[in-house]
Amino acid sequence: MTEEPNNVENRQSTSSDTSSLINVSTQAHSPATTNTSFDHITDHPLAESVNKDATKTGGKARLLYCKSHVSIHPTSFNKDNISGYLGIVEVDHSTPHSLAPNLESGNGNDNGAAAVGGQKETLITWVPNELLERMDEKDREGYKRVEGRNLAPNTKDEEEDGFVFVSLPPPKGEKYAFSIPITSIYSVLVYPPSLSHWYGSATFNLMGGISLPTLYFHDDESPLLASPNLPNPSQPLPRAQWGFPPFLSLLESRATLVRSHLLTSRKNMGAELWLVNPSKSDREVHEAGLEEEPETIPTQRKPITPETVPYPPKQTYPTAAVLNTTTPKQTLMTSLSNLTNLSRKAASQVLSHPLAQPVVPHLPPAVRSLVNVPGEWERTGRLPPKPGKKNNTDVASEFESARLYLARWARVVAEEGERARRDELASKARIQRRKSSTSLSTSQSGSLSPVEDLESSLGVFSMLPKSYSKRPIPNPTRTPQHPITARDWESFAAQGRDELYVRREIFKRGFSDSSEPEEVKARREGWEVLLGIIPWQIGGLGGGETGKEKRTKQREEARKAKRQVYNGLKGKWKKEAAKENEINGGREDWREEWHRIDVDCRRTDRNQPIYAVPSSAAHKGDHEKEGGGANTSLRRGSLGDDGQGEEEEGGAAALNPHIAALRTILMTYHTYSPELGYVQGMSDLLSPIYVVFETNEADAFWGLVGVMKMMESNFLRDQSGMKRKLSTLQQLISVMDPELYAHLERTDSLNLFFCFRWILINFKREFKFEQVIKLWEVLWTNFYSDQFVLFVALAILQSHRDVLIRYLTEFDEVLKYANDLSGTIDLDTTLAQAEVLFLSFRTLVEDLDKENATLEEKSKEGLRHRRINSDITGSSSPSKKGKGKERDKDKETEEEDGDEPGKKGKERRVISDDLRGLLISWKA
Amino acid sequence: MASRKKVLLKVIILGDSGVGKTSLMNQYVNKRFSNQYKATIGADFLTRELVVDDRVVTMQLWDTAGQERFQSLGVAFYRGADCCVLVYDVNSSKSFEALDGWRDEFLVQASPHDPENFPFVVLGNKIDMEESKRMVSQKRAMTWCQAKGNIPYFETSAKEAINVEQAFQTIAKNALAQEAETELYNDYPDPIRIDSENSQNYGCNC
Repeated sequence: MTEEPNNVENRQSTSSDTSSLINVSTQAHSPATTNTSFDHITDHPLAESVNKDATKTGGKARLLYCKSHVSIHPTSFNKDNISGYLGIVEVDHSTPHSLAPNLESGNGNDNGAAAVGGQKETLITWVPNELLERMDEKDREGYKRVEGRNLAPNTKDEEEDGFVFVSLPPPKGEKYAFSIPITSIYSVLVYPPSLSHWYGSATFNLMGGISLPTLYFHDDESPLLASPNLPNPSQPLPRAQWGFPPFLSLLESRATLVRSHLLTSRKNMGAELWLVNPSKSDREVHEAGLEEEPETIPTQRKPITPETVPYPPKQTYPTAAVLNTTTPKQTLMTSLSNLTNLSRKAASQVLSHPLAQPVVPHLPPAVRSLVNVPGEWERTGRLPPKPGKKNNTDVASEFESARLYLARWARVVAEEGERARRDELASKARIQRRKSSTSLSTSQSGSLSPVEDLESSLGVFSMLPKSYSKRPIPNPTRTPQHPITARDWESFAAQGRDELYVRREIFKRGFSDSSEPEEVKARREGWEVLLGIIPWQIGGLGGGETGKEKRTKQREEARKAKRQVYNGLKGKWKKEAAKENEINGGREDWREEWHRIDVDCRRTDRNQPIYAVPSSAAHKGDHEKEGGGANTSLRRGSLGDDGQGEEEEGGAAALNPHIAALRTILMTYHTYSPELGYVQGMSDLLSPIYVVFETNEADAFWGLVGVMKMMESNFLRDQSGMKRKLSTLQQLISVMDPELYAHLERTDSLNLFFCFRWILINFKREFKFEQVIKLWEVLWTNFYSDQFVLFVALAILQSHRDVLIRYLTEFDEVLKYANDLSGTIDLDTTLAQAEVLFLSFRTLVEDLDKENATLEEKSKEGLRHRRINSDITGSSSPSKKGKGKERDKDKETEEEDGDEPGKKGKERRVISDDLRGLLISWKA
Repeated sequence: MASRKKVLLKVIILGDSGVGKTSLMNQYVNKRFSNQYKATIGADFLTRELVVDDRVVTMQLWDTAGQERFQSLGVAFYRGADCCVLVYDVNSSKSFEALDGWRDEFLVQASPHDPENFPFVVLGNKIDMEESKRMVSQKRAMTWCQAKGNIPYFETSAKEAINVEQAFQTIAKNALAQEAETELYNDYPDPIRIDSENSQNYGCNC
């Protein structure tokens, strides 16, 4: 736990507050949750009756802010809405006459107040009008005065006006009234008003996973509407004018608010999740953002149902002691359970599903409490399918299976745990370092802070499979936080560094992301080297201005020559195509190819601004599509058109000049390498290259040629290249992680099809565009291995191995899980891990070779020479329970091992040629 | 996982690249059309629950890459299919002419027990486009479908959500029939059905 000191304090005070609240809740709660929608009002733990003495338990508090017409909707009927005031109050615990509210009413424990003794405490309150009616006249006045002040903020300053003191409602009162210290609030889930949700809403989620009833802002009924600057009351309130933001900004002055990136508002109907005083680990999780959306988003906001009420399972509520020692994992579970305000319905359904039952006992309490809530199915608003009704629109939840859902969940938890652990280790290291700041070798980039260095290496350390723990752990060398700048790049040449050095630097650091022209140029030159377009030594190495000029000049000349060749290639097929077009509508095979290319280019990286189609053109495109059949006419994007000034056919989108350029490049490549032709996936490879080569068509073509030289085998007609790579990966897994291998075997996933997309296009679809660029330049260095991509795949599999092994039992689940990792993988961690895995693998091979050499010596006296099996068989041989070929192979070798004379208990392992091939790297 | 297999209808969607396989699937399952789909690489699937003949079934729709080259990998995905959906673009005769090949390829690779009666459904997609762009007439398509053993035929638009529900309802129905036959064939009883699991939830909502 590396929380800020402040936070720790907050949490402590919080925990006792919350716990008291929880204790009361549990006591007050009646276990029966029935189906009738009204019953739960009385069941509501917050509805513990305070009778007429509502104000008795409360003290006086300074009202900082309040807003009327904030309602709770206990049912879907308007008549049941309870309107009230949302407020922010401040309680001064140091006030001598002790107006402090008795928050500990539940257990009579005063520690909570003591912890913040002498402090002012800010509370969020909600008081229903009904309760207010029964309060002092002065209180009512106070609320109205403060609200009036909000409406006309510039008239009087708060200070001038003097403080407004009101009675504090009890922590939990009748009709849902509450007052909760800010410190006990974990997060606020906010839905701004929209066309589909007339009322904006806010739900406070407390530490420990309880959510307060959702508050709906009936802004249209509030005095706000009377203000003249609202022209059209029939329209949904503009975002700026709805009731929550002013509240939020005031809250912001009292607490640290962080908006979670886990919810992207575009997709979630504008939902925002605000974390209140988040811990460091929470921050990391929520600020990093997950690509993954919550599984289901209710399409209809539910009225307040028991989902917002802490459900019965008494035993599952964390005790005060637990809360006091909140681990990052718990914090995360809490945050997740808050997130499920969106997806709780889904979660409940999933967890209540028979398939989920076996895993339920292993779940943390917060999650478990979602299981089998009585009546939940009835309340979800999900209409039961009517038998025989045609056209049934009962959309089954989007998740694929309970296990898959849980697996994703587990993954997030695991990742968070990992992060927290790393933080912990890093901070420990920091302390140690302070004590003895002497040792530790300084790496190449001297500016690298030792902590960062350590942090990353420890992270990898922890992810290593157990089987290596006996070996010394190799250290990753990558320092992506110090990318190669244009200056560095120039200095490499000036210092006369050789290409191996340059490749190693690129592997370790990558290029700077800056959009400064020199930096863009540096990366581009780097790619020209990596892709074998322009040699590193061009113009000679060496310092001085003259050296630089010479290089620049020669490089430019080389480019010119290449461009000429390209134009020749392009001109040739264009000319031919034009001629053919006149005669018989073009070469059949070319037209087909052109159509394929066209369809794919139009849907490649459409979310990148450069490939976006202006809406006007897109609209035009809607009317100008065609299928590229035999009747393709000249008029509609015939073969070879450059797409300028024309609206076009194909896929679904219209053309922009850059898409047209991709198309032309790929068509040229098709004629340049006719035996391979265009294959799906090539447009994915081309698109970042085209961007890095500054949208120069000819240069990008040569970039593609360079990439295809390395990746051609992926695209062979018979798929032999891909099959071989997947087979190599399979062998690699069996050596590096036999347990995972065995699991994949059990799940019929050994074909590793779920890695197909990863390998085919070098993870293009798994990372964001910018990250793909960073990944590729690392891969293309071929510094350690020209199949480093397989180690990247292994790294990803390894970091998810526990989840895979524990939750996923079917091929389709594994596939879905792998596909859904897209956008969630951390590039630098993965690369660091891939490097460590490679180094471990290399050591392993070396060790084995040594071992085998010794065995060989010994068995020379023996009778027979051992047959070298082309397949790897690990000593910790993967599952023998499997069926089919794999098993037979295992058996075969085992038997052989069995009568190996010189074995003496030591099993002999052989590294296959495929695996040995992984050690091949770039050579000058 | 016998019980799981029983309630799951596996449906394979095949057709040339760019005819709208991914779009159809997403329109059916997620009820939306996006301009952002990319060419499918490898394979992916979506599932949706629906009611067929009073039974709740889960339909698993498999979307694969459209380029023939990748079909050799399809075997793994084809296995155990209950229905095969052949998709073409009504504005592309090429994609229509390819249906024969897709059908044969599927039968070879999936090798169903009774290829003659294996359920296919043909979808002519992109009917939202101008009539003048249309390359394959309804008549031509229906003739082909008839010749291939009365394959059900639907003209759809994933973009405008035309006929998508109806088509997939039929797909599910035929897949379920196939599934039942496979059950017989496999000859192992399996009393657990998801519809019986869920029937308790059919209660009234209020």
